Amino acid sequence: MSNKDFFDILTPRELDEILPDDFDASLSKAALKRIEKKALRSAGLKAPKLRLTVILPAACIALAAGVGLLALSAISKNRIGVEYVGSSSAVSENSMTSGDESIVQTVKTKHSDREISFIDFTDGTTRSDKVKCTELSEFYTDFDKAEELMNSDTEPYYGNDDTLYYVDKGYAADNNNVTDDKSWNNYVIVCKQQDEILWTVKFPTLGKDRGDDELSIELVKETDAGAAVIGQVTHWNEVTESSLSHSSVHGFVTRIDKDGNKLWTHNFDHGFNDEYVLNVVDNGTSWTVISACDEYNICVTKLDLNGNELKFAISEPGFKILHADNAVKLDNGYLVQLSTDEGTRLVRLSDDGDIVDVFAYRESDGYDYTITDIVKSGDKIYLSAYYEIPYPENSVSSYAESANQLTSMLVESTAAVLLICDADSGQVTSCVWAPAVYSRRLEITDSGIIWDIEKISGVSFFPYADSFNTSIKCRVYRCTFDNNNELINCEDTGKYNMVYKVV
Amino acid sequence: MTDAQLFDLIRKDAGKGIAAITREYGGLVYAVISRKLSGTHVDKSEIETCAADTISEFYLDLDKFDLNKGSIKAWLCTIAVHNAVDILRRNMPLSLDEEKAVSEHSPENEFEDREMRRTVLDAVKSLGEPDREIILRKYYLGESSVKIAARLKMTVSNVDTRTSRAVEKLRHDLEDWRK
Repeated sequence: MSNKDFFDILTPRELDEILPDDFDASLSKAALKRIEKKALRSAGLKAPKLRLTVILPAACIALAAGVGLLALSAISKNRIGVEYVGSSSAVSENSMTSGDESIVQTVKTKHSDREISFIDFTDGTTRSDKVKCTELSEFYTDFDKAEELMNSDTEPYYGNDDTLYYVDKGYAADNNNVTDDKSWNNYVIVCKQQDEILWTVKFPTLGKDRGDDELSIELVKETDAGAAVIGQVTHWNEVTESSLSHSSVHGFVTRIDKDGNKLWTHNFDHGFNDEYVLNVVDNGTSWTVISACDEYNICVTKLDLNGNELKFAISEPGFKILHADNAVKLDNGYLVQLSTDEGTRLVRLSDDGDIVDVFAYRESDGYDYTITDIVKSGDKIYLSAYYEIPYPENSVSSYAESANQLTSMLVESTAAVLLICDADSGQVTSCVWAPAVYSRRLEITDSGIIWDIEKISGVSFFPYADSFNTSIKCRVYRCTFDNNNELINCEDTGKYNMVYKVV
Repeated sequence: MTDAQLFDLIRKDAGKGIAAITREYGGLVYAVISRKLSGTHVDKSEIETCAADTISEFYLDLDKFDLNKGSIKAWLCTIAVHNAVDILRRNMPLSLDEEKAVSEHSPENEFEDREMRRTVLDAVKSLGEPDREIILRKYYLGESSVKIAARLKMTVSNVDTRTSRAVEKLRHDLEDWRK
């Protein structure tokens, strides 16, 4: 028996004899919160309220129609269209087309008031507003066949449909597809336009000579001045008696021009132990870089397009910062979406980088929105978001005898919402709600809104160690709305995206 | 919050009770499981799930736990070890020693087991402070010397020296039993 197993044979009373009274171990607030939530679910204390939320609208539609008859008609071997027989004046139909033009589905919409909470962390107030919302009916597809899912392409990418940036680790993109062992430690940014590789740029790690250094690429963002590559380098400090320090992390931003030339790299070191670069905002003639300094401060650095530092500011929002997945330019500052140890927070910064507001939006029943894209257009802010309603873990293991059963559960517990907010006050003025999908990219055009939503198509899972690692494959649909949020159509893009989660 | 207050709270309001226990002992439970599963490929989220299961199990079997037979902290640690071992069992065969460490003891072996446990207890208690806490943190929670040094406001080399001496003493005291 090894030293570490000495104590495992002791009874609780015996353990008490040797454990000091104040014997504890620290864990982050976020981890404790996750454990608490899981424990509550595992103890059966949190029921999956969602099902009603999601199922009721569909039931209401049918009832309002006065028919209550839902006919499912098989259109192809693995897709099913939905037709509500009968109609109500409150319900309108829109076509949804797939890659195969012969496959047309009907998406119903209706208007309703949804209650959305606005939590202002700056003054500690919460406000609930009833918001006019366009609700989409759930559109059904049979869950895709396993072999179809396996063969579908789910490369992660940044950028838009015209220019895509892939980040690959361990592969040299030489001759498009050659694995080069010598470059195993490299990150490679691949820029593609319509399936054609325009350029590749390598980011070698410092690995071989300095095995204790580590490099990671976090984000590639397209700007007018080319691609902004964001990453971090980790240096492990030598442990000495005086410095009980851990690793130190320093972010960097690299500019790559449109021809794939690496122009410069700006390393961030403002004297903090850690300085994580999180996002870049394109100002046209400069870049504003958002970073987390020692995890608890927002640092805002303005760089000119040659990588020179023009301005630096620091503010403390009052929570631990994990990511900044989105950041946009406002008329007089920036809006940054932060993932924190307390959930998603939106932070409004002044032009000088000072915090003006910290706030969040939630479903009225308390479910946090996870924001996946932010666009500022005119005097409005558009937020693409989704939320998931937790379900008891025990129900997962009893339900999930097959991938299809687990898929059904996930479908019932997920919904996307598009919030349209006033850019000055942050108040939600209208919304679009769609059940059983994840939200993704957003684009605002003169004629309306283009919103990518992801229909859960299939789930693979690995029941292991009391938890399920699930890989959720989602089929991407592109929905177009006019300027009044009325659905014009939803088109099946034929693309897939992966969502990973542990339940 | 005392154990009696926690017990009272979890009986009256399970949600608040579980939240309080997680706040109070979640880190400890996580550390015990993490140490037990170190060297395996079990990831952090699975350790968190196991910690959550430990806390919910405590709540669901509340009537089984007698505070006269151990504090909430000690009960949670014991459940955590068993749950972690269940994960190990599911994923890899345990060594004989590990099986021995966690198996239900038969009546025939009870006397021997009790003696064994008493020997371990006496040996650990005889270390005195801060060596006892250092050894517990190192081998029960799997904390690094750096972390222990920061917590106990000592230097790392001091922690390492004390660990080394304490382990040597434990080896000596437990020599017969370890054979």
